[in-house]
Amino acid sequence: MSQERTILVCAKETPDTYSDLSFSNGSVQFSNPRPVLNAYDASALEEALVLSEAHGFRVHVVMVGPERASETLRKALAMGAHEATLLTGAPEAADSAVIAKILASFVQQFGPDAVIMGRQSQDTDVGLAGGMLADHLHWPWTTNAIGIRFEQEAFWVKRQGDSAQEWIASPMPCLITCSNNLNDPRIPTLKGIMASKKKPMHLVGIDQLPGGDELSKLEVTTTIESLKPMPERAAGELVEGDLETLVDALIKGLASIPETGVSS
Amino acid sequence: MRVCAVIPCFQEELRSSALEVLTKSADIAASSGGRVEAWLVGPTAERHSSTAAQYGASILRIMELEVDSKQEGVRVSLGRRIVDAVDGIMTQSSLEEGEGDSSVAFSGPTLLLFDNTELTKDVLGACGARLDAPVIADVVDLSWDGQQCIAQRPTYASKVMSTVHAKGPVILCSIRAGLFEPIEKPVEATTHPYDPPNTDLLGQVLKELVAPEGDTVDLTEAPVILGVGRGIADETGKDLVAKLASLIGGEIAISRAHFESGMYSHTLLVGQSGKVVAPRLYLALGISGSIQHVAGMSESHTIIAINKDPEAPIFDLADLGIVGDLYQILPALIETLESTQA
Repeated sequence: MSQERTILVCAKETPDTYSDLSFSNGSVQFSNPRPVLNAYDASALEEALVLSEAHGFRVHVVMVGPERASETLRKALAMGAHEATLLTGAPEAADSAVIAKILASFVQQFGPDAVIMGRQSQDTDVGLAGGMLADHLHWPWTTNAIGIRFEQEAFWVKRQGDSAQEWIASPMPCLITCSNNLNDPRIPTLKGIMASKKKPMHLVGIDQLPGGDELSKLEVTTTIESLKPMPERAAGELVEGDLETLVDALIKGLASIPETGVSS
Repeated sequence: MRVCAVIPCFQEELRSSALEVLTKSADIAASSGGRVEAWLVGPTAERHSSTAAQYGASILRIMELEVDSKQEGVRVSLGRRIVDAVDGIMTQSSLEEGEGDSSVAFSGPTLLLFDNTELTKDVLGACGARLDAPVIADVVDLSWDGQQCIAQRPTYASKVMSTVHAKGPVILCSIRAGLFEPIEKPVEATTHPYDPPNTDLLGQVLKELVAPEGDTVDLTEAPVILGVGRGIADETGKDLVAKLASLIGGEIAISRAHFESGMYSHTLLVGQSGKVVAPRLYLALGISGSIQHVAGMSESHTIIAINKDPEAPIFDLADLGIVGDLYQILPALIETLESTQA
């Protein structure tokens, strides 16, 4: 019983999509060239660290990415994760389906008590990898967590639904995907950054995982063919002036939408 | 090919997002010479069959799921069962061909279309994994070119439109709500019931349903939304917004500022990390227009914004921008509306 329990956080490195964006030759550049830890995964990691502090879980972070992504993974260690693994050798344009299969192989070998990850990545906003991974593992899953507790040997997740919220309990092992509204991820301290340099980080080629030969040959079946600037909305009218002018303009605007039931 | 609208059924009425999925399915089938199926799964599946035929589905595959929604809640009761149901119907509708019922069976390319509610987001990835099929989530348009599915979806916090291609015998796609006007297209339909699989919930249980008072709003369905931002700062402002909402038949949504203020239910959050909506009218009240919020409402048909800061980014995308103080404008607007409606 002394064996330490582990939460595995699956993370992704993304461009800093909150920095300014520009186009050149159909590709997108961000004003901050340094990639970041996906904000939703940072929330997942924060939650794992809180659970670790309260219940003694070991927190391991895994990422599929190129070798340079180890820098981003190091930040996760600086936040407080105990150990990290970078899975290299995936196709550059790997989609959620390919990533989920690679992660499934790693999780099966590693055997954590729970997987916690972001509900989507901040660059593509796709949000599929969690459900895919859970189905491969045949684990119970809960998406869009806005709160997590560990109680009676189960993970209790407060899930935001279409309306209302539900507390759902899952026995271990289980998978949880996090909203980024459930916490503010901690900023690494200087001490944390120093400590991160001594923490174990493993680089593993995906061909070294169970079923590695097949993982290396997975076909990518969804491809991004082109990126274009979002069609700009036609610039609207900006009304300034006295109260009567403003209210008149509003009434006219509301009256142009039949669903409001307003007549001018 | 066949285009299948996959519709989770657990309410008395079909959501308008389901009608939009049926409409888009009929649209794609018409342009590619395919047929439209509706896969109705859930405790109220049976009663929605005539509606599905009304919106163009000629083959209705129905799986009544027995769920204890009080005990299990919507998510626990439906999540894994929907994945099993989709898998089951896919398998059985292919097997039927071997038994000679060629009017029902199907072995060609299959496009499965879903809406993009939280319920769907919860199961879409798992469905894709189960069927080992490509998935494109949250598209604002899609077509079939005979070989592959071509979809448009906003990316990079809705600052970029990406064109995504998916190839495979089966492709799954979820469609953003509010973009396609539901159009009736009545057809003769045949009904094909399926027995539900024996779903193992893997020990998952509903512990508590947290439904704050008034938290029954399904924002993705609302034609008129009043987005409330930092500019509404107190109970007086909240009352003004509530009054205006009832006068123009709107639902209230919030920006991140009010996720933290505690003045409103968290369910109402619109943005990249909340709900993604595309109503007929989005009335932005004191919302500055952060990237994260805009990602959740930029596809709205009409945007009207009121903000006292003429430089607020929300005005860059508003069809009508009103520069002024909400605490003066709202009472005057309410008074005018009340006098004309009286």
